Amino acid sequence: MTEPQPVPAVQSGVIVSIAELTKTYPAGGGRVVTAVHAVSLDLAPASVTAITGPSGSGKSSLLRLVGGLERADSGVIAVDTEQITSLPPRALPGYRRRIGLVFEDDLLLPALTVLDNVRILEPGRSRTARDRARELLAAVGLAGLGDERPSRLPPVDRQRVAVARALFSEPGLLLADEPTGALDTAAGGEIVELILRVRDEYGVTVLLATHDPEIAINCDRVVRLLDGRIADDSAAPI
Amino acid sequence: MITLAWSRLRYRPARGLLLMLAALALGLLAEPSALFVLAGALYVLAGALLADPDLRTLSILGWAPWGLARLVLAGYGLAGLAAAVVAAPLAALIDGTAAAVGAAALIPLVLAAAAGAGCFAQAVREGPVAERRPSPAPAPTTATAEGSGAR
Repeated sequence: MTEPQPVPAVQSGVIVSIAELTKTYPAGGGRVVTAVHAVSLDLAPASVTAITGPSGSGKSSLLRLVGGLERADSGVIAVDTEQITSLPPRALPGYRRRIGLVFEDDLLLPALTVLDNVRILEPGRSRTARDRARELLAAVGLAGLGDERPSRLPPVDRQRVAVARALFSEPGLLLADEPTGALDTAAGGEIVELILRVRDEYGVTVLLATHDPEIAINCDRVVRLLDGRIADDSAAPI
Repeated sequence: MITLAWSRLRYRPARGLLLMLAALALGLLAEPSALFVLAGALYVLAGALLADPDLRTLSILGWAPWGLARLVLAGYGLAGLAAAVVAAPLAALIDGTAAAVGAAALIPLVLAAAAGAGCFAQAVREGPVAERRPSPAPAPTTATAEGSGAR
């Protein structure tokens, strides 16, 4: 890993408004599981909000809904002025291109170099895209590793590449679903530090799901889910 | 797109080679008949079974279906083209009629496209959802469909 360089400028963070969001899944035998139950949440621009809770509490479901990877049964999600819940299915890929997505699995394409993975949303011959991908790699501390294959990097660096890829489209919103889940404690700490630095330098709004309280404690706000409902919110008035 | 498709093909040469050899063999049989229709159907199935995790990843990251289709077309088209380039001269040597050469060139392309269509169909069917079900944890909010307000 190399010394991280200043992060290239991107647009500032967006306001996210979630209102009465509900998502159920069929569980067989005519039954349903309510993964997200009437959740309402407003995220301030350039804030880092951790969604915590035990396995099955609805963290990932909530992030997938905000990320346009799932459709809600009811409720509203608005990202800035755009109402995600009313976008037609054909508009969702375009929405996902405009936000940053980081998952527990880095989702890097093994056939491509690190640089090509970062600019996967713009795989053509554009020099601008290549330069931007290089800048982002430098920003996450991986300058000079653009020609490597992801398989040659340690897991923590692959996750750094995933963060760089998430920033490629200059997102106002970054969704991170258990980004440290596959890493040891030290490596996980590095990734959280990187995400916090991204927020500081880019002003991006971050929604991060984690089951690890040590990770959540570093965030501006912690929202704990239990059985799909908000059980605790550090920003709630006492 | 071609560069990206070529990188993927080069990374998994076995997939491209298998496709190429099978298409080549069928291309050399070169009888546009029931066998060809059957082969086309089998190739669609084979494409679906081969799966292509990259397509799902790209879909998650925001590639639109038409972008995935172009990638599939480029990748499988390359394999089909390679098979056609080999099959056509071989057909010319074995059976010099224009129909045989034409069929030997065309059939691998069609079969490769069929395999690509299978992969694409599977990627579209699976959609971009990384994990379709919530984690298998205690779910006390479970209710009957009638009582939950679920759609």
